[in-house]
Amino acid sequence: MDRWSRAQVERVAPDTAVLAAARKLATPGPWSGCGANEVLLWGRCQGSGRTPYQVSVDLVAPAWRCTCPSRKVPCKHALALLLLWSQGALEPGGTLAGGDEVADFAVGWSARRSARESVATPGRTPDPQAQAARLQRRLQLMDAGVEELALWLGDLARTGLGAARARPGSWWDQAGARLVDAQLPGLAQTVRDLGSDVVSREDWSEHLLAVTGRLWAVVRAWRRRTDLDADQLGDLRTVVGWPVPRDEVRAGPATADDWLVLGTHRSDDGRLQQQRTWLHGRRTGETVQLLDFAAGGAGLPLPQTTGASLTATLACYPGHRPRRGLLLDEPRPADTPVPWPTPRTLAEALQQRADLLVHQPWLTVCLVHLAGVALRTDPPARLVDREGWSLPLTGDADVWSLAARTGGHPVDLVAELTGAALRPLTVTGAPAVTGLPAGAAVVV
Amino acid sequence: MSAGDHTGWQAALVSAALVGTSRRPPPPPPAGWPLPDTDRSEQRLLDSAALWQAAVRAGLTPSPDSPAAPAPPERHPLAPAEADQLLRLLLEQPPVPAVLVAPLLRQWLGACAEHRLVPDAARLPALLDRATRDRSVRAALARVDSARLRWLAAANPDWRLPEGPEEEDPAGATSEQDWARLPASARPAVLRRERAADPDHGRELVESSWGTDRARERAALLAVLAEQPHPGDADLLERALDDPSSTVRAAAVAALGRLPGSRRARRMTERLAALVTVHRARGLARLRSALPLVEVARPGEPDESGVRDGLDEPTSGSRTDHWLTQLTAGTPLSWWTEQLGVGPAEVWRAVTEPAVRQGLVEATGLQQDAGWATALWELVDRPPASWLALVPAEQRERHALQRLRADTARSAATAGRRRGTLAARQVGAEALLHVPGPWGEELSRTVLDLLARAEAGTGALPVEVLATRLHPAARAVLTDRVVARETATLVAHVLQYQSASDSIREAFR
Repeated sequence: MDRWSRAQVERVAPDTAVLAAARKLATPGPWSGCGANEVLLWGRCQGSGRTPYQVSVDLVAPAWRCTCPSRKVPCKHALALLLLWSQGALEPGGTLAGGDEVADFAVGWSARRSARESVATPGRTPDPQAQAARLQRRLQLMDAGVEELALWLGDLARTGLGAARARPGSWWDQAGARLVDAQLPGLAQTVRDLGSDVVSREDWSEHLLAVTGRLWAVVRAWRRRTDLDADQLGDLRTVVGWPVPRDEVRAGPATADDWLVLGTHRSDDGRLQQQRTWLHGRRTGETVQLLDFAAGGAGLPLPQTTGASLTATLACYPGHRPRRGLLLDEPRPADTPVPWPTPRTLAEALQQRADLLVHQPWLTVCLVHLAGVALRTDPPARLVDREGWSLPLTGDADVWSLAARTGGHPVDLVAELTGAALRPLTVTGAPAVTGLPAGAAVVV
Repeated sequence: MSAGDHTGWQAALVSAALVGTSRRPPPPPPAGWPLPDTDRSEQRLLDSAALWQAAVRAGLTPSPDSPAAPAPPERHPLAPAEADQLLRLLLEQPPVPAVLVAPLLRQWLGACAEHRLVPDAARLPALLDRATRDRSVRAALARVDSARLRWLAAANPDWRLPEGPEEEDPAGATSEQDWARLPASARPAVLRRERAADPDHGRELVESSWGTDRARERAALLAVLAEQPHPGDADLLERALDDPSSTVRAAAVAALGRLPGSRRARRMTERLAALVTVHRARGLARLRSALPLVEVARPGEPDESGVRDGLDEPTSGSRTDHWLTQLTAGTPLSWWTEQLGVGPAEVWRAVTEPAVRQGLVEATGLQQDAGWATALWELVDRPPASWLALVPAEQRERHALQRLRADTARSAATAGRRRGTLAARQVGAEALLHVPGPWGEELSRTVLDLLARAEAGTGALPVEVLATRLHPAARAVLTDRVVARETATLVAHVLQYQSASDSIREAFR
């Protein structure tokens, strides 16, 4: 197992406070009985208590275990151990070099983990009758919820968007809450977001009309849901927030391929952290997204290294492109790197999305690889391509980081296209004048 | 289908949606658009909206645009990777307390500029953020000759950076209009900055608002002028002696006391001269002692002009002593050396009157006279610590050491367990504030030793003073030492700083 870089370790940290605490612990002082092999790291860390904490880290399928009471995952002890390892302290000859003999606690944990993994899937066979009854109940709730939404939208259209804008935030929240009760969390979020969008956005009237139209299209599609094919239904289920169980996805067709990690976007709305990783298949040429979620103190899984080529088997959720994938096995480094997909002009990229929209009318975000786009920082910050066309950046884009790294020179760039805006993820090619390393993927 | 061709329809659709279909029916869709058949107008509006939003997204086109001028290429190589790692740490997860980050950043940037290197472009936004908040970092960053840095700073109006590597901060020169708009609370800081750049311009700003400022504000501004008085201030200060407010008059007296060339100094000299008789040694006496004899008469009650110049009533003690001290403090020290024809040390010996001697001590501080401070240091009992800034650099550390040792001995003798602030205790450590860094190894060792024992008030010294001035080699004093609990954190911070500072030095080697 190659040692992780410091940056890789830092990315696993659930927050900066834990990382700061881990840095303080990443000195030989409190550690004893440390060691590392191809799969595991282990060590004992003397904390404030009498018994040292037992820390184990699984490097292959990143996972952590520590006997400390912290609810942070990974905790500062696991992070500190990783930091020490990344600095080479656990190597033979390093300050904390231990034996090859794996500590008992690490062996036990690792064994329990692999046992659990292999048993989890076939473990319990659900009662098919109860399952059918549950599904029936959910469908009834959702049907009623969609019809109630239809009435709400009709009222909105009749009384006017101007009147709706004057409503208090609680009015939107209430409509959202009824959709939550109807087990349509995707629609609920859309409606709740409207409540703040209508006051904060300058183009609120067009935006409200567009979202209203979109919600109405959902109503129309839902009413015909029995006529939809599996992919159409899959797209619709994503929009309304009716998830397809993982086991069902796992049971579906699998795609083995080499995948290039194009980039990752992390977001945190305070309640939920989300991580979206974009992969591009060598053989299939398909771009898929992996979604990870974490709530509360739990940390997101370690992001795949941008620019890395991985061999992995994926199953895809039902739906049209860009499809959501699910890893069926642990990715390993591919034998030969997967080439980057051909970068496009802005007009071509928009055409690519228009082609996707033909089949996936609910599409909110897709990935584009842009050729030679230069950043303009004067507001609104935007990317200009060689043909003299531009699209603005999303509000959450770090304009100045991109400006600092590219110096306003045209670069090839992987970006998410959402609405009419671009969210830069990865610089894939840059002229020497930028000072960026040639041929390396640079996360921005 | 494209929404662009149907702007008229879109406008009509939006306006119908805004007022509601109960008041305005939705416009008919463009020919050929597939809309479900319905006679409910709100449904027709919703169907139209659904189609329209899909068409808008599918038909989105970029805007015509042109790229802006990119950054010119860097002319210098990148700082080494280890140095970059340290910089990243300083910016994101500083290993030292917040007050010590700026000195380390300055050191890093200084080394970077000195070696003619540039920071990694990825650090520039954080550096510029920092430099915008912190003037000292801004000056250090400005000396780094990076084309990317300058391009970036010019692109973001929130960032401030002096123009060229060697140029002055253009953010200086405040106009009288800007000055007039400044809130009273912000003015002293602005004035201090202006004075450092151009003392005359600073004073002109004060004069521009003098007529309308309130007494408290006028006094606060005079206090800033008094920090570093300039001969050009004399007229303004002279006028301020007639100010209706006593606070302003007192501030003017204080400022004029530091200007030995002022008219007030001349008047004080005349008053003192009338009281002083110099008896020069003659004949045989001259062989025994070259010293003239100085006889000082008691001053009388000050007249109106004397009161105007600040002669006032003492809170306690002898009134004539007090006036003598005030007159001496207000008289240029050069008057004594001219009158007696001897140097400062001889003047001190010739003047035996304690009130006059006290005046000479005050005058030395007020007039910032290095010659007098140096000459009198050994003669005066406990010279003011602020004189350390006046004496020659090579003597400073010796004096400070003496002072520290004397205080340690004294506090050991009294074994007082009282704690208090530095100023309240008037201990040797206060003298250290007046010894600019870097300190020599001997002084540094003594200070660290005292610090480890929490003695001589060293524990009350600001951490940034200790960290940035102590000699790096002095750390050896702490080897195998138990540090007193009171100062353990302070010592730890100093060591953290020094270790970070060492790393920066090594990274650039």
